[in-house]
Amino acid sequence: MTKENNALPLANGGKIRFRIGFNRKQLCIPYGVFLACFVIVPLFLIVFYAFTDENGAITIENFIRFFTTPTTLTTVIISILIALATTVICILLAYPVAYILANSKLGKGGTLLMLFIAPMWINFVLRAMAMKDLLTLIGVFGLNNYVNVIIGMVYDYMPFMILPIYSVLIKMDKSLIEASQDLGASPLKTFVKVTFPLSMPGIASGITMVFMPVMTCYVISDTFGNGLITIIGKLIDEQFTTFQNWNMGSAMAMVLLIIMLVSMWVTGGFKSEDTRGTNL
Amino acid sequence: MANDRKNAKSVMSDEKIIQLVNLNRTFDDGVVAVDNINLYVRKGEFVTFLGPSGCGKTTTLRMIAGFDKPSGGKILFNGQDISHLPPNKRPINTVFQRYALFPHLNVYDNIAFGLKLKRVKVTYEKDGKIVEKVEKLKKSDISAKVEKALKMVDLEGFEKRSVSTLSGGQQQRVAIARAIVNEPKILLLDEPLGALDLKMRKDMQLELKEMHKKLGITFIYVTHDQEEALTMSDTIVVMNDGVIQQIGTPTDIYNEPKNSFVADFIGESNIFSGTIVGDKKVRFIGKNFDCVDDFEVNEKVDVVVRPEDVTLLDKGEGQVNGKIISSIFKGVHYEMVMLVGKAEIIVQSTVERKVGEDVSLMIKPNDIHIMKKEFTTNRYDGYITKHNTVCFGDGEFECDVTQLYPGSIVDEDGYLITAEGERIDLTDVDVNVEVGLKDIEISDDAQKGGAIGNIVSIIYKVDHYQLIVRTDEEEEDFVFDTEDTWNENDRVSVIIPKEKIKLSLKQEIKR
Repeated sequence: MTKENNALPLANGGKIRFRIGFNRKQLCIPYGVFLACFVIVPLFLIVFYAFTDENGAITIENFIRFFTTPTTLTTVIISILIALATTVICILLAYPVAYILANSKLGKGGTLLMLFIAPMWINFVLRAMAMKDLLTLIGVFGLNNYVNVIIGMVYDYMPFMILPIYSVLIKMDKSLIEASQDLGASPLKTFVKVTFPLSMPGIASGITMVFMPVMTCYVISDTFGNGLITIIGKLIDEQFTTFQNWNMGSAMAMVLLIIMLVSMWVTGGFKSEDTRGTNL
Repeated sequence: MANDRKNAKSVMSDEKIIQLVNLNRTFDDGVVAVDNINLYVRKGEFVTFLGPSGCGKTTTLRMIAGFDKPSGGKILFNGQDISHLPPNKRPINTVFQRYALFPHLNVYDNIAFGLKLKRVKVTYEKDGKIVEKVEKLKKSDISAKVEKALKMVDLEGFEKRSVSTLSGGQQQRVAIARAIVNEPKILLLDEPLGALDLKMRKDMQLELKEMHKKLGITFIYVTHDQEEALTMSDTIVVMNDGVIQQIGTPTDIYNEPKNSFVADFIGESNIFSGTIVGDKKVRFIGKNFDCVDDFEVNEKVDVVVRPEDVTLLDKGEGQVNGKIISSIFKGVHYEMVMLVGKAEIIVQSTVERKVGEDVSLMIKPNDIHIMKKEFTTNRYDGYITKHNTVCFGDGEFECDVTQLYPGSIVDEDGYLITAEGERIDLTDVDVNVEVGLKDIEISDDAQKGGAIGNIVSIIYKVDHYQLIVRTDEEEEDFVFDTEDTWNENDRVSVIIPKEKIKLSLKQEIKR
């Protein structure tokens, strides 16, 4: 008898025990079910509603109406412009903050970072109202509704831009900076030629986390735009709630989905394997 | 200190390209990485900083490169102080430990990085006048230089490859090409071969050596691998604890180690404790040997003998008899251990002696190298506490305070009563403390001893180990001999028997 044969009965205490076979892969079943019920099925429902009329007949009438109605088209363009402006301002403001956080000793402990992330924990409707009051107090509010909305959006989405840029910068190999200086680059040249290109993945994931949500975040546009600025999210909401036109609403949602996919494809080019996990 | 350096293999002038003057570096947390280093490097020389990790070699290199600012002292480049020049203004390039290649650039752009930043003075003749202009290098010049550098490191045709697709050895070559393409005055190499496998490392060592000859650039190389240092360098600087232990040619360092640290670190060695017994006569392992070094009679010394310098003869034919207790075949030679009394002596020879065989050893006077003992005793500044214990070396120890006054006793209240009947309060009295090398024990039970520290050094001395335990806060050292086996970095507490602590007053007590 070999040693291995001996060891087997000892291992289960000499008794035959029932073993629940758990494969690690099987642990994702609950989430898979959740995903199917609440993400995949609704997506198909949206596609179904978008291509049918209220009687259930297949049609592309919804899309034709969407693209021929000047007001909806204007809304789409305004949404994209607001999202673009918000994203650009967020990058301009967040990059220096993330850079300072990643390079200062205080940033290493995470204390400063916390200060920038903490607003995310407060209910954002509440935050938006508070910001509005603050703007009114200092007299900026009401000068221009678009400016107000953009201020509100930037305020709300800033942490989503800071965090991915910060996490790319903090993980960056410091010896690359030293190598650049060693090869004769001044601190400014080092930033332009090494630090900035290497932080592109962080900027890209920041963009995906700011640009797309801004287009649908109508709580902010309602609060800060005095109800005078409509963005595409608001339009979809109206179709479902005010007009009870689920087919038109679904068609709009599909158009939005396509815009998002395009913007993801554009920014996705900067991402590489080794920057995984920089998204929130 | 290094005036005895001989001109070795490479072509180098006597011109000193780099001089380190009283160079210091203390980190923010108080750790002294580099402690008052003085050193010069000659133009065209291949200098290696050698030492165990944490000895300050990399910090020294980083200060020369400009990544670290000295806390004190000067770095002179051709006689000019460059200590406060940023790295991009120094005519020095570095090959980094983990290559530090730019992942967003391909091989060509990595190598061309420095060249693209370079500005050169160009003189034109315009309308009969000579105009001087600062210009970028021409594209064609850059690509010619990159091609040349790629050829030098055998990577022709790799220009368009992404650096992440290269093997470790290829990345290493790109890193070297990226540095030498700028034609620096000095090339710094920070353990550049550490990540390569043995075979590749040996090949690269020879290639680097060849490159050094061809380019004529001064190389400053950092490694913890003594064999690498011996193979490649003109001059080796052995460092430990932020201090230079010895500077010399590989042959000097190997044959004439200055202290037992160097002897132990470079190659294998037998370190004996010996006593000088006469004119050029030293006694160790119970026998008098002739030697060539002059020392004072009765001086305690360390005696170093390399394993290959011990000749084994049949029993009775040599100077000291012993027995072989182990024998291992190492390819070219046998490594054997011979037991003489309690001393285990390592011997290397091409002739095998069987385990258990009675043999006799012979050592030629030339091969006996004698060094002054570094440590003869431990000395500390201490003070007496109100419990009549003594504080020194970052700890508190029980002691016998009556030795401060001959014939005195301690009364019930803790006062010292002298022979004359005087009553003295010893609290806070400063004392000199002395503890012998044989009087310290250590334990891994932190509660047992009076001070706690880590083992920072272990040197094998034939029949015992000499250990140094360093405490955390004041970095006080306890040096002692033990026959027990410990490991470096073990956390231990220091035990000193009450009667072994020798105290003396720093000054008479005022009352």
